[in-house]
Amino acid sequence: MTTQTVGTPLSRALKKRLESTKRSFYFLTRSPLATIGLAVVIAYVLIAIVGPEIIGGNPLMMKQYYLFQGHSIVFNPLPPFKYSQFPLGTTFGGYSIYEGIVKGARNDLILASAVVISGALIGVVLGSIAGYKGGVLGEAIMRVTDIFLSLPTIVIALAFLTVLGRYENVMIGALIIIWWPTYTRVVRGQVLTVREQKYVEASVAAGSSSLRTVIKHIIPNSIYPIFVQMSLDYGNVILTLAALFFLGFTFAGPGFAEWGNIISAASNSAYAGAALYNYPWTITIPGLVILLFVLSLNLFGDGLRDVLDPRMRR
Amino acid sequence: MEEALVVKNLKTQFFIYDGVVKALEDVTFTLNKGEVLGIVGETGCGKSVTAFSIMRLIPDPPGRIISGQIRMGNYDLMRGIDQEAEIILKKRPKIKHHNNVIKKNEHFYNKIRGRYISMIFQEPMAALNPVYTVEDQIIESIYLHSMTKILKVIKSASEHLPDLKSFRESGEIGAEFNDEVGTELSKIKNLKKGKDSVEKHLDMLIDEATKFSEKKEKYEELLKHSIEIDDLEEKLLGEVGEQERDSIISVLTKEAKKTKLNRLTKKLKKKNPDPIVSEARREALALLESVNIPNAFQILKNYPHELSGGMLQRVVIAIALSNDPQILIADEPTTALDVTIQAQILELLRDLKKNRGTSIILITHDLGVIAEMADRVVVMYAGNVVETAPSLELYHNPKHPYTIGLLQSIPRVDDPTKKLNIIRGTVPNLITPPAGCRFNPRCQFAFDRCLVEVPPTIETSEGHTVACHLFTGKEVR
Amino acid sequence: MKLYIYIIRRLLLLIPVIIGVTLITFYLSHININLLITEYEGKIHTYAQYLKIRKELHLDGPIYVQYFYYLGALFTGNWGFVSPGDIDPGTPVVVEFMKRFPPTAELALIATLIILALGIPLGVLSAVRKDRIPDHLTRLGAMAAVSMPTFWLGLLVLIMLAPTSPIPHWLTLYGNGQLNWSVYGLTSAGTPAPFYVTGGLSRPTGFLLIDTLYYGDIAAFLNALWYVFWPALVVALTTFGVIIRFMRSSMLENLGQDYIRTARSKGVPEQFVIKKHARRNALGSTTTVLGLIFASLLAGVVVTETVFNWPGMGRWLYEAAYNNDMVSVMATTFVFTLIIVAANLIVDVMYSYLDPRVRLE
Repeated sequence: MTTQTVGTPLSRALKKRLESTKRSFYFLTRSPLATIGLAVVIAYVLIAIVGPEIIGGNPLMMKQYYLFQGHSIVFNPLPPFKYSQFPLGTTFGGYSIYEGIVKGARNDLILASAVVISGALIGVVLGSIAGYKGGVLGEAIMRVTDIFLSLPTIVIALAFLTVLGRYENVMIGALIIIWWPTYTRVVRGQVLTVREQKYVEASVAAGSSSLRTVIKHIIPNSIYPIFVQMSLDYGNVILTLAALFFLGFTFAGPGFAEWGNIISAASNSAYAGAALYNYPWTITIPGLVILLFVLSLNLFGDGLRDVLDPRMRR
Repeated sequence: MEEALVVKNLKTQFFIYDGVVKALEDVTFTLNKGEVLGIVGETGCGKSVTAFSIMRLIPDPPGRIISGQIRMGNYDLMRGIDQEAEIILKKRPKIKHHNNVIKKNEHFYNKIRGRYISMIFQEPMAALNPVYTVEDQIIESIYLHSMTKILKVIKSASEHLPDLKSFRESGEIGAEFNDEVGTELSKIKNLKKGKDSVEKHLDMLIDEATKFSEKKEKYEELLKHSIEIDDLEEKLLGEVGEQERDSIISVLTKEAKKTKLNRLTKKLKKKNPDPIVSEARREALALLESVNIPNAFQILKNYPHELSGGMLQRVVIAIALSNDPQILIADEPTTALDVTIQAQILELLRDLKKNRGTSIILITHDLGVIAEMADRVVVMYAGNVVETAPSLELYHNPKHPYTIGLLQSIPRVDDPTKKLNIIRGTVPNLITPPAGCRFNPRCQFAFDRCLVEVPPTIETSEGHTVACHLFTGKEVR
Repeated sequence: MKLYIYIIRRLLLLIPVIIGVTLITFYLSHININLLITEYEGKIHTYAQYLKIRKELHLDGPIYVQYFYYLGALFTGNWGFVSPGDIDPGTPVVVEFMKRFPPTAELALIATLIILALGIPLGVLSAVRKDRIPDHLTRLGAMAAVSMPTFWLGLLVLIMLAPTSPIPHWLTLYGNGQLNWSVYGLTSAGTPAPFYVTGGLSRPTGFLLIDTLYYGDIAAFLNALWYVFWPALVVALTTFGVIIRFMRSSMLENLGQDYIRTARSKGVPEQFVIKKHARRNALGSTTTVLGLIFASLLAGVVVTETVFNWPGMGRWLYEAAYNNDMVSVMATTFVFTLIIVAANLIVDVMYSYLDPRVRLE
């Protein structure tokens, strides 16, 4: 019985890759939670793209609404599902929660993407060098990574925001500083494994330069774990961002459309304290929005990892 | 000759993404008492799966023993296996497990494994738990199955306390006794490990016996209980009704819980151990000495990573022997070892058969090892038994084309001019095995009947059976 | 290798890490000199005064001299003073630290205990019942918990505990009505002691649970436990998912190892295969993650302290950052980092105890 070898090497390689993608997809769909997670994440992305355009106004900021009852302004938040203008009610300061969530989706996604993508890029570069070149340089990179890994996340972000001022760049920069070491570690570990593979050895033996080997063979073959790490980190970045905004370390004032900032409007208002318990929706609804998004990301990332890590396969 | 183990029509399958792997198809063979039965074949032909099926160590999912019979003496080992799960055959087969049945069978089989049938593995380096000492892992096995024996030895030692003390003073084992401690003493004597070892054993025995006398009632009670449990186990193995079987299993389940194996590690660390631990340790020491481990007392306290591969394999063998099993399954025990160590381990197995009368199933792909060790040989190909014969007969008069191919592919030093014959192709994919004889794509004698009809097993001469269409004769089954 | 040699070696390895950490904090605290000398605000009127103070603080020399003085001050406990505008202006930072550290340590320790007590058994359960209902529930629950914003969960707990909570009041009724709700209150005026202690007694250790026991006041102890429990639970819930996930995969990996097969072949009952053979090995590798999650645990502590008005380092950091009190911010940052480094050290020692192979390297 001989194996059929038909077609050019390229078409065979493509076919193989297609087959393995199909296989991965099968396993992913076998896990209903991961599929749901993916669907929800896609829905959020769509909302982030289209939503602010539909609502109109400044896509970055929430509009303040002043409601009049007779001649006096209504300060108290309005409950959800009662006013067609504010489907999810309003929070302290006259902000529409619905508007905040939709516009916040875009802001949060942009901020988090900036952090995760930059972190991953730094990680890929440093991790590949540390893993492929090794030696003193690699060792030095890993030691520095270890030092940065022992920095507490929110603490260091607060320190940066205090010292360098409350600016958007500082916040993104601080978060990148928190997140790049993880990627460096993941990439280095992956590169170390891939480097030992026969096809890499063969390529080196055939005279391929190190840069070419890294770009052609090593990075493509260690890219999946980076994706998994990114999908899992993305949620954490969103959570940290929300926490920073919640603590009041915003760079754009109270009206900035960000999920944590909406909650902050409630808990930091002059009405905080016992009054808060009379308006629970001002906290629960934006929180649920964050929870749903981060949970979906985690479910998807977890499913993806199970699929890509054959040991976890049944 | 008396049969130790009869395996009949054993069928094991694995249910994976690509389909159903038909790993074993109607595997049938017999292991006689006190013989070494070799199982040979290429990698992937089902040797290890056979061993694991007998031990019920097939990981589930994905694997399942579908059907078959395994009898050990008069005991039916396959009771209830067909009720463990239902296989729903669809485009992708689904398995519905009946977990309570599986649990019950598991408890039943735990009384067989390690007690009647033991196994040693291919990779000694990975076979021991890295975080527990060697003694911990040997004593565990003794603890589970030989509690009665331990207590009996301590008891009879306490009866002979003055004699033991006098032996200790003279440093030599004098008189012989006709009870448990007597057997142990003669074992120690036969080990011939020198004065130090004898003194160590005697010290431990004296210590146990003294402690036993101090709390006699407690230990007598334990002994009585232990004997009752042993009787129950004995009963369970025989013919019992469904209801009685369930009730015995539930008693044994509770009993298993009481062993508290996870506390054993702590007990072993105590400076002043209780007599049961101490006797178990003494037996572990004797076991290590019996597998020729030098410095056995120190090795007991070592962790697996501190020992070499050959040493570890000896420890694994010691664990397998800890309850004097009737059957020992050795799954490629020498593959991962150096050649010199290989010879020593094989020597050890041979001694075992000679001295203890253990029946051994030796799985290997090394025909040299088979020629040296085995009394009879089973040749397997792609999940089928293709030929069974006494080993001399097999080497001189191989019948099945696959066996002939295997034998011709051994390089001969005495005849360098001879060209090596190889078997073309590889072991087939067992998800879609070839129809008819599974060997037909690679067989140079294949004819049309081979492509459609599964060959019956035919007895060509006394004790020599072959599954091939080329031969005619009495069909065995 | 002996355990103590291993520990000494591990301590030596810490030196470069600590130097690295001080470099980072040094960079942060010296990048903005004006912030650094805010504590002298009242005294600076002329440029000459500014220069004088700069010289006093050794901020005019080359960078390595500055670093040297920074290190000297750091290790002699001369950490500066809490800025005006903060809660306790003018207090030496070290004194403030002594006051703030015990509550945080207490919160973090109780949270760690909850994480271990919940995470490890659930991880084992999840692995043993792989792909069955308990596994799915555990994984989904754990994942939902880690996907929650910490502050949000904290606020939910507060809402639940509130007198006007729609949830029945059995939760709040504990302790003969001693639970003084208002001390949890979200009005962030001052730092009220978030517990009930009889009389104005001094605090020998600063740990609520220990101090109340020291005075033999059982009612106060239980009350303090009640106060510690909720924020600790919030911190634990938002962190323990990692432990469950890791314990699960570690258990699954170990259950597939050869030595598990050996144990089964001996006839070891399944419960002991899990309890003794697989779990011990899985615990070893899970402790290493414990070190890694400690960073996120402390992040949770910072937020939770703020939400619950807990008078610890996290709340101090928050207040200081809010008031641009750079000296306090840098002090807390440094201490938090040290805690993480120390936690990693402890974890490594624990690991080497659990897995004898580690000591060999």
